[in-house]
Formats: sequence, C-alpha cells, structure tokens
Amino acid sequence: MFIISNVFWGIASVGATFFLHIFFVSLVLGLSVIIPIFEIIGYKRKNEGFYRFARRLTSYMVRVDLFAGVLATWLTVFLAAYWPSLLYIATNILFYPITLALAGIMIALVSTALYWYTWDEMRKTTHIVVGLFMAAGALMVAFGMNSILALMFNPYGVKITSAMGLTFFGSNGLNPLANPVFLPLMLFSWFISIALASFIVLTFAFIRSKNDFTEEFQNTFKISRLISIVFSLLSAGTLAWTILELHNYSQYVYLGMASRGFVAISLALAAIVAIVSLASLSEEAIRYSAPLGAVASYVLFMFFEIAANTARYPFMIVTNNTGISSSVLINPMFEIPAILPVAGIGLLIVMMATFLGTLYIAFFVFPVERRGKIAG
Amino acid sequence: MITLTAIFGLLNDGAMNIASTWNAANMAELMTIVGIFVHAFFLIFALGFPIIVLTLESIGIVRKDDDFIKLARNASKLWGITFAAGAVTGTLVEFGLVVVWSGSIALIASMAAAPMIIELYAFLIEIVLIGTYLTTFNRFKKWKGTHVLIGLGVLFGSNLSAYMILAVNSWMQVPWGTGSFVAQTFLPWVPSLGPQVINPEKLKTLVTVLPTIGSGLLSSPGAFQLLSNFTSNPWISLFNPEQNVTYFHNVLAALVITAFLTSSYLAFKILKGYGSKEYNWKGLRVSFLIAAVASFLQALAGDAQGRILYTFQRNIFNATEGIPANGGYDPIVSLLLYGSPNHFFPGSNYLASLLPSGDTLGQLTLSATNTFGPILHTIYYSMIISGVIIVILGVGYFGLYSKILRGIVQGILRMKVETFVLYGSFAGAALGIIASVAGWATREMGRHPWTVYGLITYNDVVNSHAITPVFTAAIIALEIGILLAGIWGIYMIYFKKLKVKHKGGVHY
Repeated sequence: MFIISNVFWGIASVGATFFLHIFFVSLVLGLSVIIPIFEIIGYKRKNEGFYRFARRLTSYMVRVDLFAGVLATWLTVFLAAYWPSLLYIATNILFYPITLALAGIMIALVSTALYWYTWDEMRKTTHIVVGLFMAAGALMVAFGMNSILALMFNPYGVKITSAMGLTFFGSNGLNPLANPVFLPLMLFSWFISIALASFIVLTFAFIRSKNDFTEEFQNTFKISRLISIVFSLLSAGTLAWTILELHNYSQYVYLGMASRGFVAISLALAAIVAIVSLASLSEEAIRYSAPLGAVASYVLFMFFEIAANTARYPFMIVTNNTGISSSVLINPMFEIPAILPVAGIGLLIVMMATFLGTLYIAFFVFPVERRGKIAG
Repeated sequence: MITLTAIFGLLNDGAMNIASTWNAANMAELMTIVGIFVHAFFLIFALGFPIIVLTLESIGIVRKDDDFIKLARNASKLWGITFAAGAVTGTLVEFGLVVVWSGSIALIASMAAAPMIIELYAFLIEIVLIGTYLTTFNRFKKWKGTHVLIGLGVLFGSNLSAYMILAVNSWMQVPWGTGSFVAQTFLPWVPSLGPQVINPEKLKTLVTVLPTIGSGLLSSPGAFQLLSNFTSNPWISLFNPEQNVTYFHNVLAALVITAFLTSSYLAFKILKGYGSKEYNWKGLRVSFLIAAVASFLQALAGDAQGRILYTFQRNIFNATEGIPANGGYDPIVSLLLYGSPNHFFPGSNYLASLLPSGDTLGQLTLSATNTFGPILHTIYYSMIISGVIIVILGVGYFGLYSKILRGIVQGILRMKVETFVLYGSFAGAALGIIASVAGWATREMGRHPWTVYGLITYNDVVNSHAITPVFTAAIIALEIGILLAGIWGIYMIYFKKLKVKHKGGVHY
C-alpha cells in the first residue's frame, strides 16, 4: 500500500528537516536581534569595540542563515509533495500570517546580506536601520510560522463542512492569530531563540574578555549577560503560559506530554536555563554557566518542540480529543519513489559535514579579523 | 495641492476600476510576473556568473597571473550577493506558488514532485558549496585547483537546480506523459504528448473537478482521494523533449547577459580611467569572449526552441510569427522548418475549425492568443532582433584577433575594434536583458489562459482568498523593494567607492 510508504517517508523527510531547521533558525533569529543591539550601543557610546564585536557575530550568522534558509525551502516542498492537503488548508486559513512570514523571510535575508556586505560602506545610522530591518524580518518569520504549529495544536478559525459525502476544511472567518495557543507559543520561540543566542554570545565574549582584557570585551560581556538573563526568564514564563494554553485548548497534546512526564521535564529545563543565566552574575560561576546555558536552552527548545509535536501522533491536526490522521492528509496520487527521500537524507549528511567544515574554517582558521591581513 | 488631490483621485479611480474588472487570478498574475522578473534579475547571476568566475580563476591558475585571480575574487563577491538575493526571491516565488496559486500544490504533489525534490538537493549543494567557495578563496596555496573544483560543485548545483525548475515549467508548457488527452479533450492541434503514463480517467476527474470546485478540492482529503493512482511514472516530467532545449536556452541567456554585464563594468572602468587599464582589459577580453561564444550557441538553442513551439503549441507559434487568421507564408521560417520558402502556414481560423462544438476552453485559448497576438509578435521579434545584434557584436569581437574582421568593423563603423568592444559591452548587456525579458514574457503570456497548457487554467488554481488590490500592491512594493535593495547593494560594493579605491592605480 503506497499510502503507508508515503506516510513513512513523509514523516521521515519533514521530521528530519523540521528539527534540523529549527536548530539553525533559532540561532539566526536570536543573533538577528542581538547584533543590532550591540551596534546601537556602540553608536550611542561611540565605542568601536561594540562595532567590531557585532561584525564578528554577523560573519558567523550569515553562514548559518543560508543553511537554515535552504532547509525552510525543503520543508515547504516536502509538505507540498507528501501532505498537499495539509499545506493547502494551512495556506488558505493562515493566508495572512504565512504571507507575513514570507515578507519576513524576504526582508530578513535581503537586509542581512546588505548588513554584511555594506559594513563600513555606509553611514552608521543607515547601517543600524538596515540591522533593525534584519531583526524585524527574523521576528516576522517566527511570528507567521508559529501560526501553523498553533493551528495543528488547536484548529482555531477552521470551518469543517460536508458536501456530496465529502469533508471540506475552510476558514470560518475568525482571525487565526487570535488562536489562544498562538501568542504564547510564538513568544516562547522568540525568547528562547534570543536567550540561546545570547548564551552563545556570552560564552564568546567571556572567552575573549579573559584572553585580552580590553574594555571592548568587558563591555560586550556585560551586555550579553543582561540579555541572557532577561530572555531566559521570559522564556520560562512563556513556556509555562504555552503549556497552560495547551491544557485549556489542546487536551490531547497536553495529556500526551503530561503522561510521559514531558511537561515536568520541559518546565524543569526552563528553570535550569533561568537559574544558569542568573548564575552568570557570579564571576566565579560564569566560566561554566555561559556554555551550560547555551546547551540547556538548546535542549529545552528542541525537547519542547519534539515533545509537543510527537504528542500529536497519529494526528496531524488535533481537534479536542481526536484529530485528523496523517494518513488521511497524505498525498494519495501516487507513491513518491523512496529513492528521493533516501538520497536526500544521504546528501544532507554529506552537506552538513561540508557546512560544518566551512564553519570551522570561517570561525577558527581564518576568522574575519585575520582575513584582511592575509588577503590584502 | 489641487494637483495632488487630482492624482490621488485618479489613482483611487484606477484602483477601483481594477478591483471591479480584475479577478483574483489577474491580480495574482500581476504580482507573480513582477516576482518572477525580480527573481530572474538575480537568478541570471547565479546561473551565468559561476562560468565567468571559474574561467577567470582557471586562467589565473594556469597562467600564474594574479590579475585573473583578483578579477575572479572581485566577481565572486557579486556572485555571493546575487546568490543570496536569488535565494530570497526564489523563496518568494516558491511560497507564492503554494500560497497565491495554492491549487498548484496538486502539481507539486504529482508531476512536479520528482523535479521539485531533486531541486531541493541541488539548492543545498549550491548553498553549502558557495559558502565554502567564498570562504576558502586564496586559501589553497599548493592545490589551487581544489578551489576551482569546489566552484565546479556550485556550478553543478546551480545548473541541476535550473534544470529541475525548468522541467516543471516545461511540463506546464508541454504536459509530457498525457498521450493524446489534450488533443482529444481541449486542443485538437496538439500532437500526442509522449506515452500515456497518466491515468486518463483521473486526469479527466482533475480537469473537470478543478473548474467546478476550484483548488478547494485539495481541502477535502476525501475528494483528493479521487485522484489516487494518478500516474504510473512519476519521473516522466524529466523526459520532456521541451525541457533540454529550454534549459540550454535559459542557461545561455543567463551567460550572455552576465558576461556582457561583466564586460560593461570593466568597460566603464576603462572609459572612466579607474584602475589599471591592462588589468581591466584582461577581464574584458575574457568576459566578452564568453558572451560571444554563448551568443553563437544561443542562436542554435533559439532555433531549437522555435521548432518545439511549432510542434507542440501551434496557436502560440502563429501569434509570435504573426501568421494571419486565414494563414499565410513566412519564407524565412518556412526555409528553416521545411528547407523551402514556400510552405503555407494555416492560421487561427484553421485551428478553430478543428475544435469540436462545445469546446469552450479551446475557443478561449484561441481568443486569448488572438488578444495577445500583436503583443506576442512584437516582443518575440524584439527578442529576435536583439539576438541578431548580439551575434553581430560577438562576431565583431573577433576583430581583436582577425585582420579581416578588424577591417570590416573599422570600415563599417568608422571606429577601432577596441572602441567597438568597449561600447559593444553596454549594448550587449542592454540587448541581452531585452531579449531575455521578451523571450520569457512570450513564453508565459503565450500560454494564456492555461497554467498547464491544455489541462488546467489560471482560474482553476488561484487562491481567491483575500487577493485584493491593496494586498497585490503591497506584495509588488515588497518585490520592487527587494530589487532596489539588491541593486543598491551592488552599487555600494562596486561603484560607490570605485574612485577612492583607484587612487594611485590600485588594482581592483
């Protein structure tokens, strides 16, 4: 039965791509917000150190951004190929949020490219404006895309009609952004992404501040620490809010998570992230808390996404205590040859290795501050 | 103030007029046209630029000439920024496809699945390797060829990507694998379109259900089940005879434009006295040579594309060639197709006579072709004329090396060949863009009213949900904003500080 083959390979393709995508995209989102903050502070304080720091971070971000972006395209095409009905329902009911996300992608990528290529090539205030567009674009993407996940947890705004013995899914006219699950879910993804990026930046700033005791790194270190504390606490709060709304509006998902202890683990991880961020206030503890915070916030984000999305199984869209099964929404037209997803997974492994190798070269062998001296 | 009020009044009236006469498909088409042309602006660099950059780098390595390496490195910056912009606008087009033309999800879920998925892989190869290529420029001190090999990997990725996307577009022009379905159902002049590997009953269900309930078909999993066992060969769209020709035609077009644009930049620097003349000429000779060779090959590809059009889309062929409704003679085309100038080409009246009674879509097709006919004929011939001039420019370039050609150029134009090449660069770039825009516009406009020729119309697949004039205007503004941002970026990198950087004759 080819439906089974399509379901299996569809879950494998979309699942692998989704988790790899959010792994990278969360870092991009966080850095897109943090980098302009450093540049603005540099401008306000007339401190070149902040500029240099922001520039280094940008060089790292642009590389990750390209990889994260390509995985977004993978997701769309895999969804269209394997779950065309799901994608169609989402694009109709969530027409405006998805369009907003699309606009965000365009704004973010273009402004990121401009931000990177025009460093020192334009007035600082203009460059800051480009950076703010970059941040706004990244936030818009997460804003729009989280509406899809919220719809799958709680199909708010969906009208189910029957005609000729068939069931049709359309919009009931309600604004899907008023979905009670949407706002906390979206805010959580914003805040945890910024917290994660800030912990990585904090680690980087801390190492550099110990290697050279310049004011530049001391200052960036303090700012990174403040950002990590604020957004870790916000992440914990919005996670609790998200779980509360799942409890109220998506019982199936909530019970699926709670029965396996995933709710407790998620909240415990959020508490760890918050405590670790506060621990960085101690000069003694920061050596460990900064990298631990980065790892813990990544684990928290990934764990929650995996736990919440697998709790929907076997449904793609949950409606109260039941839902629409993935096999109902699967592409019924023909069996997509298995060689396609198999080749994709193989290629993904090879390209991941190449990408990480390139990052290694870019970060450690020829970092941006050494490049000018060598290339001439 | 009165003038402003009047202008706003006119704009408002115009918008209201559009809103009242245009449907969702018209507005969706407008934003798609702008989006695709903005994408194409950047895409041509991703497709054409690797060949120029890698050629320059390879010459530099073989000749041990650092000037060529510097030329390649400077060009690779543009490659990077246009690739990023191309990826962005490609995302726009792809999302636009599934959001605005949401019924086309059925296409991705069927005949376009294999090429679209392979295209994802090509995109990944391209995006990872271009990062490696740019990061490792000048890093391989002993094994310089390794860097070129990485670049070749990018070239492979970009070409595989183009091949797969064009396979989808080609299937929309010539739905290969449908056998005689199109001829028997809507358009009797269409020949058999390959083996019948698509289930005709399911195809009939699709083409009858879509116009009735629209793309809402996809919103009902049960209704969608009616299309199960749609095809026995999901790879068929990769074996479309239209595809290879379209691929070569597009790649060569991208190469002609980017090579001439590179030549134009270097010619601009030479004429303005920026940088070393010798350095700029080195690059100019190579880029113009690439443009010349590509333009010769493009003439052959264009001829093959015309033959395909004649074979599979006779109504569009008639419109582009300006064949009268009652038919007529076209000696040049006749000579090319039949080896004799006397072949009689039947016109649209003959095609109409083939239509069975009640074939409203067949009549609509001929009506659309007749409506767009004069525009199609004009833009098609602006492409042909631009192409002919480009070939002449390419021949003239060899005056740099041939005494006979040098004499001809100097005799006719009363200018040195060097001057001809400098100014010819600008002309070639402008004409290349005109030819490319005109060619693609002919291809897409000619297909009206079909999304997939002879099977699915625009109205069948458009997402009518909220595509208002305001929404359309906002999306178009965003698309144009991206184009302007990209052009601004190119200006900032390549032009703004040109004068400053070249003080003292510094190479750049």
